[in-house]
This record gives sequence, structure tokens and C-alpha cells, in this order.
Amino acid sequence: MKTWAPLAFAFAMLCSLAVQPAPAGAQDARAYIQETGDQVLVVLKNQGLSSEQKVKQIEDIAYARFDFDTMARLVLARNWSKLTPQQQSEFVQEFRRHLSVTYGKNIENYRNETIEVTGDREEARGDWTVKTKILRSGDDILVDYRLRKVDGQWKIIDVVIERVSLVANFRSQLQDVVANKGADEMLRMLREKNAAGQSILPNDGKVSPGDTSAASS
Amino acid sequence: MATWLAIVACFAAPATALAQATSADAVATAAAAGSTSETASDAIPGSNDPWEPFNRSMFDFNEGLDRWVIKPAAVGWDTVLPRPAQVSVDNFFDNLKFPARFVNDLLQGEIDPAAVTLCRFVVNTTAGLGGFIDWGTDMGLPKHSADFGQTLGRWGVPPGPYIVWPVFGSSNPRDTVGIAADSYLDISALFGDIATLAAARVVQTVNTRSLLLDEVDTAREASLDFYIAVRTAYFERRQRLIQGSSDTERGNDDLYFPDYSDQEVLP
Repeated sequence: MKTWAPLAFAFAMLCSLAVQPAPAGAQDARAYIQETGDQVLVVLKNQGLSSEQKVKQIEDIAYARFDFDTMARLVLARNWSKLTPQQQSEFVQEFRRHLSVTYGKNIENYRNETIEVTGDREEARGDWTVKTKILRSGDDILVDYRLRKVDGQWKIIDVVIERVSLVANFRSQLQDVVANKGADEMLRMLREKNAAGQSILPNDGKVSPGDTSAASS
Repeated sequence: MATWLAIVACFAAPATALAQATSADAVATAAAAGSTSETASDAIPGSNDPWEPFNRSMFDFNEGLDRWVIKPAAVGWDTVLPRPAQVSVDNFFDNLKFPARFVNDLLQGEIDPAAVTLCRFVVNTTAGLGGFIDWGTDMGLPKHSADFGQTLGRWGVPPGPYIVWPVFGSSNPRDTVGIAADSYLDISALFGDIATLAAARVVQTVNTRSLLLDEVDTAREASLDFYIAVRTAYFERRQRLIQGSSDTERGNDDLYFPDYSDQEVLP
């Protein structure tokens, strides 16, 4: 038994060294993301609201805090300039609607997740990345927000979920369509997709058995 | 919310007992494919996909497999087993990945993460009752992934073109070799015969899928072309896992970030 003691001690030391300290440092960008997350959680946790009301309120938060115009430009990248001004503004609108339709449906899937800001770093062009974790039962989800100062106010211009950028992902999907079929066809596909999605917003009444465990997490 | 996590986890996650057979073929194919030189196709990262027609048909096959077999099983599993129990099952299988993770941490010269991996394994296997409870994370020893495909990437091996394997899902020659190599460090063979292992693999697949029911649905709906969405997500996630050491991911990822500085798109 005695021979185990030093080994156990050494192991305990090793483990205490391996424990990573929480990152320090405060930025207004961090505070901005924390505040955004808190606002969203308040809505999600509010039992008094219907799904429609929740979707509406979260849309309001998102519209104030995301710069959809910049996001849309980044998504289309070089193809942006191939669109007429009218097509451009339609794209911004449909892109925004697409996000709210697809993510709005998840509002009833909320299972007491919380958000923790874990770090931040400066990026090129004065952008700032704020790193967060969604804490839940099971693996945490890493979500990074890319922020840019627009008229003196931080705006979210990309969301990177588990190392996958929303902007980059849409960019590659739209690239082929615009190049091969043209901007009109791309807009038509997006409109169609949104119309199909909207008809079952915010909850299509599907049975989701996982919800029964919501209280026990 | 965990849209892309879901896609990647679901399609990168190996699946059934077919796995063993597939990886052998994979090595041969990968060796052949590895010799062709890599050409930067265009500005969109991850679009190196010369086998797209084949890949798309495999992708459709996997989607069908999911729709008709795996997802229905996962929905049933989800009805029977409460979520915390699913998470425990997930923890258990994850804990068994220790040897490959530890060795790859070391091969990548990641000493601190290797220590974290070792400590997690010891703590979770003992106090965590064989891995079902993840005390490590609560103690400040977060989980991270390390595999041989990632190690090869750190050593400068390029990914090569995108491949979709039947059942396995998204990969590329580099990561296919990685999966084959990591299978030598799979300790599950110590715990039973082929039939037991196959059953365990089925449980693992169905359990993983049941944790991602909503996420995969959202991912499918959120994309205009789900194949390209998955392809891009796979590429991007793998690149970032290679560039950033698990938790200390830093700066120079602009190469794979969208081109934020593109002059033509500036207001």
C-alpha cells in the first residue's frame, strides 16, 4: 500500500497541473456577447410566451445585433458585384429570413442550456472574435462570434459553430449556384426554401420524444 | 443550435460493423489517391472534389441509410432512454478512445493535452464508473479530440480530395489513413467477441444519432445543397482541429476563415 502513496501524489500533481486556468481579460466585445446571450436566454426561459412570441422577440434581438448586410456581402463575396442593387437587397432580405426560419424552429428545443464566454481575440481589420461555450447535458458546444464595429457599435458578422463558419458554409453552397445558374435562380431557390420552411413555423407539431427529459437535465 | 456539430459528428462518426472491412479498402484507395498531386482548385476552401459524382451517390446512399434505418432506430432509442442516460452512454464510448487520443497527443508534441487525456481516462474510468460519468470535465479537464488524421495534418500532410465512404461518411485520403491507423489502438477488442463488438458499435451509432435528432434536421433544412454544406463543414472543421491545438486555438486561421478582407465586397 505504501508504494502507492507517492504514485498517487505524483498523479494528483500531474492532474492539478493539467487543469487549465480560466482565461482572463475583459473586452467590451465580450460584454456585448454576454449581454446578447443573456437576453436570448431570458426569452427562451420565459414560460409565459408562446412560440410565436419567442421567435418574434429573438428576431428583434438578432436584427439589432447582427449586421445582415455585411454577412450577405461576405457570403456572396465576389459574386456580390454581379447582382443588381435590387437583387442585392432581395438577397439580404431572403438570407435573413432563411436564418430566422430555420433557427426559429428550434426555439422549442431549448433544454436549459446556458452560455459561457470563454475568451476573445483580436482579428484583422479591427474585428474581434468572442469565444463562447453552450453548456448543456452532454458535450459543450463551441460557438465563436466574429464582431465588427459598425458606426461605433459592435455587430455580429459571423457565427462559427464547432469550428464551422456560417458565412463560409453558405458561401460555398451559393458559389456553384450563382456561377452555374445565375443570381436569379439562386434567389428563386432561396425564396422557395424559405416559403416551404415558413409554412411550418414555428412548430410543426412533430413529436419530439427527447423533450420529455428536459426537466431532468 | 448545434447544427454544424451535428452534421460533422453524424457523418464523420464511424458507423457499424462494416467499418473494419471498409477501412482496409480505404487504405488501398488512399495510398493510390495520395500520390496524385494536389491542385488548388479555386478560392472556396474544401472544394477539391474531383470524385463528386461518386461522392454524391455515396452521400445519397448514406442519407437513405440514415432516413430508413439509423434515424428511426435513434428515435426509438430516444423514446426509451432519457437524455442523461444517453449522455452517459456517449461518455462511456468516448472514454474508450483514450489510447489513440493519448498517443496522438504525444505524436503532435502536445504534452499538456496528453496529460489532460491521461488524467481524464484515469478519473473517469475509476470515479466515473468505467467512463459513464465524465468527472474530468467538471474538474477542469475538458475533452478534446486527437486522431491520426489530425497528426498527419500537423506534420504537413495535405488532406487530398474529399471522399464520401458508404456508411463511414465524409473523409479524405489523409483522414482515411488516420482512421485505419487509429483502429490499431482500439481497445474495445479486449472486451468481447466480434458479435458483442458489432452490437456495441450499433448501440454507439444509434445513441450518437439520438443525441443529434434535432440538430441534423435543422442542418438539412438550413442548407440549399446539403452535400456541399457537409463537405465544407467537414473540411473546415478538420483544418481548424489541425491548426489550433485543442483549446489554445489562435490567430492564423485567416486562410480558412472566409475572406473577410475581400475588397470587392467592402461597403
